[in-house]
Order: sequence, then C-alpha cells, then structure tokens
Amino acid sequence: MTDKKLRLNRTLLFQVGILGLCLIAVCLFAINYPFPSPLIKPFLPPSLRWPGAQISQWAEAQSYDADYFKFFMRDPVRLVPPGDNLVSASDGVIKEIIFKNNITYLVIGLSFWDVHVVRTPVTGVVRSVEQEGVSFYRDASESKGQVYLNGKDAPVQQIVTLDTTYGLIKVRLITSYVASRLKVWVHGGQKIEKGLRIGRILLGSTVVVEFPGKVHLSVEQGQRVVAGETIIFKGKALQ
Amino acid sequence: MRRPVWIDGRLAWPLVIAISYLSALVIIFDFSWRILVMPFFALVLAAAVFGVSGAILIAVLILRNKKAQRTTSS
Repeated sequence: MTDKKLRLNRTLLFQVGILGLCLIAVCLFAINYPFPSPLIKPFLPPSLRWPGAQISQWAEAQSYDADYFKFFMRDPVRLVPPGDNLVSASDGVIKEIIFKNNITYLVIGLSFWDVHVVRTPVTGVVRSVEQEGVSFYRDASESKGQVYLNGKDAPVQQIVTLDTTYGLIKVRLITSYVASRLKVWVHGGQKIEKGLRIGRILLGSTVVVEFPGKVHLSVEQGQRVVAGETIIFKGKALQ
Repeated sequence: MRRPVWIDGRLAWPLVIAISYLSALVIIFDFSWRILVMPFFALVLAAAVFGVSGAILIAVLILRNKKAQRTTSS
C-alpha cells in the first residue's frame, strides 16, 4: 500500500469517526426529546435536568432515573439558628398563611427538586403521630382547600403533634397522588430538638404547620424557605 | 473526478464540516432553548443567523478548495 493510500485511509477513518460522533449526538437528542439529551444534562439546573413532566411519568411507572433518585434522596446538614425562634419544617415555597378556626396554618409546597426531609420547627416532646385521610390530589390546584380538611375526606397525611413551650404545634406531612408515600421517624413520647429530622415525603407534596391562635409569622406568601434554617417566627411566645 | 461527497477515496471536507456544524447546532440550540427564556421567534431568528453563517463558512471552504486545486493543476 502506498503512502498516499494509507494517508487517505486514515483521513477517511477520521472523517467517519467525526460523523459517528455527530450521529450519536443527534440520536441522543431525538430519542430523549422533549426531555434533555444526556449530553447537555450535566450543564442544566436540576429543574431543567429532570423536568416535572418526566418525573411524573417515572412516578406513574414507579421507575425512576438513578441520578434523579440520588438527587432526590439527598439529606444535607442544616445549620439550625439558636435562640427563641421557630424554624421552617420543610424546604419549599410558602403557598398560604391562613387563620381559620383559631388556628394559624402555614402551608409549604414542595416541588420535585426540593429536599423532602421534614424537620421539627421547635424543641418539644412528640405527643402523637397520627395517620389521616384517604384521598390524593393530583396537582397543586386540587390541593388548595384540601389541606385543611380533617378526618376521612382529607388527603393522606401523617400528623406529628409536638408539645412545646409555644403550645401544641402540629406538623402535617401531606402526600399527593404522585408522592403517595410518607415516612415518619419519630414516635410518641420522644423528646426532639429544634431542626431535627422527623420524616420524609416521597416526591412533591405539602407540609402544613399548625400554630394555636393568631400568629404573626416572619415569613410571607411566596417566600422560599429552608427546613431547619429559615426562621418563621421570632419570640418567646406565639401571641 | 471531483464530486461533492466523495473525493479520491475519502469524504469531502465541506460535507463533514457541514454535518458536524449542524449536529453541534442541534445540541447548542437544544441547550439554549432550555436554559434561556426567549420567545420562539427570537430562537428561530438566531437559528437562521447561525444556519446562514454556517452556509457561508462552507461556501468559503468549497471556494478555497477549488482555488487550491486550480493552482495545483496549473
């Protein structure tokens, strides 16, 4: 084989290599569309890397992407602020602060990309852990108004009642249809410190913190909160 | 004999570059579409600009190739 032929063969091999890489890139794009290709995934923020529609599909099929599952199950250390204050029970966005039937409800909505470990807002003793509800809501609009329901009609939830120096504070871990699963790690009679992990909701859902009486919280609707770190109330007494 | 796809036992470079450029464009626009909040019209316009610039680049490459070939043959 002459030198020229050898050089041509090498060039052809190089060209075929380039075209092969191009083909792989375009195929990855086409196969994964409308969701992101694995080539661009590492450069996207979590909410774009794993779009909500894709996570809902995984939830329906009960089969999750390993990388997303690892991301979802993260449980970072939180720096709990000292002093007389109450901290947020979960990560997420404050959906509503409502005063109803002499109870102040703080409703925190969790998205698919939030840390789903729920923490105690204040030091206290667990009075009870109850399970309630039979229904599931499929999206945030359905959840509105349902979270206040008590008894059989309420969405599936676990209610951790804490006996604290601020009075009886309830933390409700509420599931959606997509989530459907809850885990509470504390039991009645257990003394727990502020910011301690009390449970986990699997996939996007809602956490409601109930305070006795009218409480002026230091957070507002639409604000993003971090479990165990964001101060939701400052002071020694709620009223 | 000169052909636009196959030249003397190898592929034509403008073709390889054009395919590589279009593939890269698909990946870059997929990424931009997801990361940037831009109107669809702006995205189409940007894609057109990139497409035209790519076409010009390839045309220049073809013309340079032709020129070089003419110089060699003379």
